[in-house]
Amino acid sequence: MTDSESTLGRAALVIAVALLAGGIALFFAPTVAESLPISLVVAEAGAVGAVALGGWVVRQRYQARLTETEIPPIEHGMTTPTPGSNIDSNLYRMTELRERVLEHRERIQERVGNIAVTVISSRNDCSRDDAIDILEGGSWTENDAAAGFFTGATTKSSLFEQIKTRFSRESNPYVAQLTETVTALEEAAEFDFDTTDMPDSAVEDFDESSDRGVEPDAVLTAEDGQEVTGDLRYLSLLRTHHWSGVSAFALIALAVGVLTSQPAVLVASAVAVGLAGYARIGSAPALTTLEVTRTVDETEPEPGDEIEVSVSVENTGETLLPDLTLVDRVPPGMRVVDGSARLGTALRPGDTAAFTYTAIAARGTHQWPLQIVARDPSGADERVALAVPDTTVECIHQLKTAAKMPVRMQTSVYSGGVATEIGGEGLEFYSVRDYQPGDPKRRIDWKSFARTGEMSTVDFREEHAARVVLLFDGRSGSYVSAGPGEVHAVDRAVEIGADVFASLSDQGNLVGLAAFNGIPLWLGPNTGQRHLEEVRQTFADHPAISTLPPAVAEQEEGRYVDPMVHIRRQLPRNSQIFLMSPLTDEYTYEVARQLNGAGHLVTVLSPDPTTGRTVGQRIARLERAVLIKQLRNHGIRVVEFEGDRSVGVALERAKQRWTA
Amino acid sequence: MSSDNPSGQSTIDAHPSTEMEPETSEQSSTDTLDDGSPETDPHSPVELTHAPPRVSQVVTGVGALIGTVLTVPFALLALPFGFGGLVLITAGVGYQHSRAWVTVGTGLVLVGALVTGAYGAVPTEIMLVAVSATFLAWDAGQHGIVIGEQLGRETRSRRKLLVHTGLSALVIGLVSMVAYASYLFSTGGQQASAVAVIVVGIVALVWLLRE
Repeated sequence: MTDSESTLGRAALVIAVALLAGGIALFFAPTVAESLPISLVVAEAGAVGAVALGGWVVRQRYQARLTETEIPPIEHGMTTPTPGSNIDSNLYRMTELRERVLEHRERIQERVGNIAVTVISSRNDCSRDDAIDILEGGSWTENDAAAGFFTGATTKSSLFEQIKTRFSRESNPYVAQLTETVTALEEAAEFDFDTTDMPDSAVEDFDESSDRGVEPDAVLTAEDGQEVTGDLRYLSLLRTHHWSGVSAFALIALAVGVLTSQPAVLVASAVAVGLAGYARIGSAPALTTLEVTRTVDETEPEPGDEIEVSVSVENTGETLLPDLTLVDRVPPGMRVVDGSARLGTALRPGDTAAFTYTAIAARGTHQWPLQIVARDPSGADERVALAVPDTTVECIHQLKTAAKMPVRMQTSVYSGGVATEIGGEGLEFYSVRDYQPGDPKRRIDWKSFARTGEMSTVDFREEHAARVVLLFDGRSGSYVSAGPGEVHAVDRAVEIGADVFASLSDQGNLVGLAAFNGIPLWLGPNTGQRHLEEVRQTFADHPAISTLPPAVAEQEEGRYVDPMVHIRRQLPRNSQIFLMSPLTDEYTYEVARQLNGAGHLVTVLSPDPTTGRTVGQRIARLERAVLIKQLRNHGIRVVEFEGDRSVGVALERAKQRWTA
Repeated sequence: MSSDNPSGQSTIDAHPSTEMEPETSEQSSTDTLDDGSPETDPHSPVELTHAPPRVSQVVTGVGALIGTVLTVPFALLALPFGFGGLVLITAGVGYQHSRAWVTVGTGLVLVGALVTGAYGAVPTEIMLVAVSATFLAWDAGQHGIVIGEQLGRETRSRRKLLVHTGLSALVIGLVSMVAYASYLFSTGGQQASAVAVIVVGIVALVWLLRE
């Protein structure tokens, strides 16, 4: 309510109360009352008016959205989309809402068509043009529905089938045909997908994500809201409409009471009038006197450690805080695994309340807010605020690992751990060659000289250090996960990257970090304690590879740095690339191919965010598998990380392919 | 006059003792709304059951029952409203966890009470108790549903719940007493003009107090 409105409202309220008081006074002055020229008709007219107004209030209440502060399931961490969910939502729009059917159909047709052409050309060992011919001929599969998907023929189904599909949920013939096609493609491509989680329904968990994990734009940070005092920030103030509707009853009961002259009904109306007043007199508490302290048992945990967080609140003011909802908004990468990060309470002056929970620490420097939803006694007014205690948790990877990451045979001039195809100083025997003047004396093969009288020199395998750059795909498209609330691919990539970095630098290689994102990240290949420290900080909270997707993390707009410009300019010659990406689009594929073509050996380390619960997800999974196959055809190594399998296990699987 | 919930009032003084009390009895008896993955992994996140606390379900159910049985059985026309409303409130707080259901149900029970009142079928005192109980049920139901949504059953919230419901019971009791007192005073002669002025005054007041 604005100031002028409230002044006017107050004046009107005074008049209303004066009328009421005057009416009551008239009871005690019957002579005056009799002399007034007002008859019962006026009262009845008032009653009829009251019914109309009551109806109006009911209508308003009916239209008013019941507002209350929604609290996302912070216990589950942040949720990110699953690859293919955009296809599912387009399918939903097409089939259920009938929106832009042709456009969506065309786009899906194109994506699936691309997969099909690649699959056919690799299976039949033919060119893409031939593959397109085969596809359009429809001879690539035994399945009529799948073949017809590309030839434009809809399947003829029996009348019974048609009736059946009319009434079942996944009724849409297009979705059914698409599902058939995807299944046929999966068979044709012979990828070994894990099909244990395949459901019967195609568009099943289309909107399941909302109740598992926090949407990225619902994440609250310590900078949200408007600062009031040092550690208190206001988010919003709202009417809950908790009591709205009570005035409708007051008006209608009054009317019924007057028209039927029933005192019982009038008294009931009076109760409602009183409650309408009760709903208005309170206002949401200011919360400035609420003191919040948070303690953490370990302020410098490693990622994956359990930390115990205790939050206590004290009412240091003079008034009762009757209705408090406290929710600790844990950082988006963390999960609450024990205890409760929420509390509902009421605090008298001087009272304290506390709650304790256990969370799994995630990388980053964290200072997170406590969300407070405070209501006035009646519950009609609600204030949402954030308290930000100055407890900071710094969670940095120690960069120690047991995994042994192999590098490839492309090295720098520095000595290191990679056995090269160059003879010289070293440990392992490499070759014997003719003596050349200037060869060191201790490498001359004296035994052979004694036997034959000819001088020859023994060469050993030179061991050089490799120069490796870990290149992260930090574009918003990489913030995808296998399901709501699961760890997303960027966090997984950083986890893997930290292990790989530790392993590589333990072996004496020069390792650097880079990312392609709106924010440039470049740490040239190097070694030493200072470099290590820089790398640890970068892994913890560099914005280019942070836990929050780029749209949410604060970032300069419109400065998309193309990795082909910014990375290649700085990339030292003879350096290898370890590309960390979920491979969900062609872009990363192009990057890998071009870098490989430019003379860098590229190894792609790819956390697998795809699953097969819906048709869209299965299409995305096929697309990724096709990309990986193409990368391997280009001689690029690809290591896949499924689920949260460790680096060591994934490497073992990948090495079998490399040696075979 | 707040015979509808004497325990609600006494809790205002009693709440320090309930402050840190773990709600074990409620945790064990939660109905599983979330049929998520079984808790095999110790690192799986905490699952919350988003249902109103039992206390508010009971207060709502009992309040709505009192409000219904004290009024509608005395007028045939009121029966469908009253019991329809009772069913809606119970379902709203018990299964649907919906503020809208509880509100519509309350509206129906109150319409039933109005119809009964219009026939003059119940004395003023009974009417007062019934309406007060219905309002308390409405308040407790809505509050409980919001607690369920924001905090879940696993979270400690008893103190918040008791203070809110206690305060509501107190206010409804006070308001009822004032209403009853003015009823007792004014049963004498009723002047048409006085009634008219009061009616207009109340209408204006309520209109200004509405949300």
